[in-house]
Amino acid sequence: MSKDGKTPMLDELEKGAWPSFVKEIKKSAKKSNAAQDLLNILERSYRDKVTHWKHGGIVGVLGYGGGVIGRYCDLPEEYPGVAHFHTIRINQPAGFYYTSTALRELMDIWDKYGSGLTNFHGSTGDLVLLGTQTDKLEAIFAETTAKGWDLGGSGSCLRTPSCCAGMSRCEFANIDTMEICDTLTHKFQDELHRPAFPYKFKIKVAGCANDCVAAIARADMSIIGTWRDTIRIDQAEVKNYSKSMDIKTEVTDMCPTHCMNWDGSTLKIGDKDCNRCMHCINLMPKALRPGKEKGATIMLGGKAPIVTGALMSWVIVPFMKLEKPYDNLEDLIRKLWEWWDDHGKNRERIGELVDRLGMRSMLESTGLPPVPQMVKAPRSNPYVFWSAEDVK
Amino acid sequence: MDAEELQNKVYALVEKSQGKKKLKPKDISNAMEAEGATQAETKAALRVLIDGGKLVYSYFGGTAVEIPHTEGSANPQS
Repeated sequence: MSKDGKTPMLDELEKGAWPSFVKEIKKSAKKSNAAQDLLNILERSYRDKVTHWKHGGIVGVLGYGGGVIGRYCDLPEEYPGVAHFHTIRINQPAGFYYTSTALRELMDIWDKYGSGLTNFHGSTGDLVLLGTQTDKLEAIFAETTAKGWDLGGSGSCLRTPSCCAGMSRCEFANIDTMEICDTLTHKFQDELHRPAFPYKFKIKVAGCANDCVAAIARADMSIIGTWRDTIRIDQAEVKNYSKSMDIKTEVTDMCPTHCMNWDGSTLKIGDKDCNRCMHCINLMPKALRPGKEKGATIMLGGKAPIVTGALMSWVIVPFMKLEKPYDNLEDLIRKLWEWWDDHGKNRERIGELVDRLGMRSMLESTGLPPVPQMVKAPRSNPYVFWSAEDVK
Repeated sequence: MDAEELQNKVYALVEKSQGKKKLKPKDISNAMEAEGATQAETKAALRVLIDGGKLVYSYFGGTAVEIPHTEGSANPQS
């Protein structure tokens, strides 16, 4: 902030037709000193070309190892409003559904104890409350939990599981994403609130391969709805589509496995070669539908670049039937955690551990059978299971 | 080893490491395993100590278990 209180560099970010975070923080600044000082210190950071935030710490609520992320600024005398500016993660409802009443209640609590600023939602999926002080944390926790909310995950624990809207709003959903997400969240409360892992572990549930929650890129375990049998075809509707689109160019030629053929009157699909990518179904939803035998593909290892580079999840179970109470999924997750816990270094994500020790170690300890769908880099021989004794 | 004895051992281990090494929950359960406690027993002991406020979780890149203290980076509350 300049001495006259102006923020010329931030003001540049208000220009243009798109929404501006500066505009929104300025609105909050009319009633919140924290929001005003947030603007001021951000302007200062832009000018100094250095962040003025300190990270980490010990702040939290009694009994919980996550849910609060400590933030202090390094210029508390100049910017007292953000001397403490801790973040609180609230476990979002499955599918990100809220009633307006619930949101009003939550925002009333936040206006009372915090800066009034929020993120909907953080990259893990949590509802994020930005900026409060250490001595307000227990009160916020007490009032939010009294309204039925709970804190989300942070630190070396299971992060808040998240999912797409699934069957509640989408005809493509092959699994009940919201129920799976909710069930896993409740099954793994201890792992969510009491950090005991080598590092973070994220679970995301997508109803189909369109992957609206970006599970493959953002989750250590991606649960993607799919089907095992054949795509259902309505040939009459395919013909209708052919009147308004070039099926060969837009659909069959774009099929990644080239398993489709359109001869001008009939669409044929070689389901054995289909990788269930959803491209054809997306383009012709009236004519094509997923098969009837539904379940999920389980993938492992997605992460952003921190210790090592970014990874996309890769297949560990091509098809898993998912039915209540999802004990098969829970069993697999617990086995993976046990292996990771035994072998993982501090701050090593499970995907990095697979890279370091190899799929062989992971498959042997979890009892998963090696299958061709796991091959990420053909011809690099990732699944030779002979031991030294076998080749003597 | 009974539950209270294990809790005391866990606390003593954390106290001994305070300021020298940040102990992860896994470090604690490994150390207690060597003393004859199962991972589940250590987990339960940690839960009692954390819930009682004798120990707290901290986060600096990874999660550690520490005795409550004012951290160096903490600003005084206005």
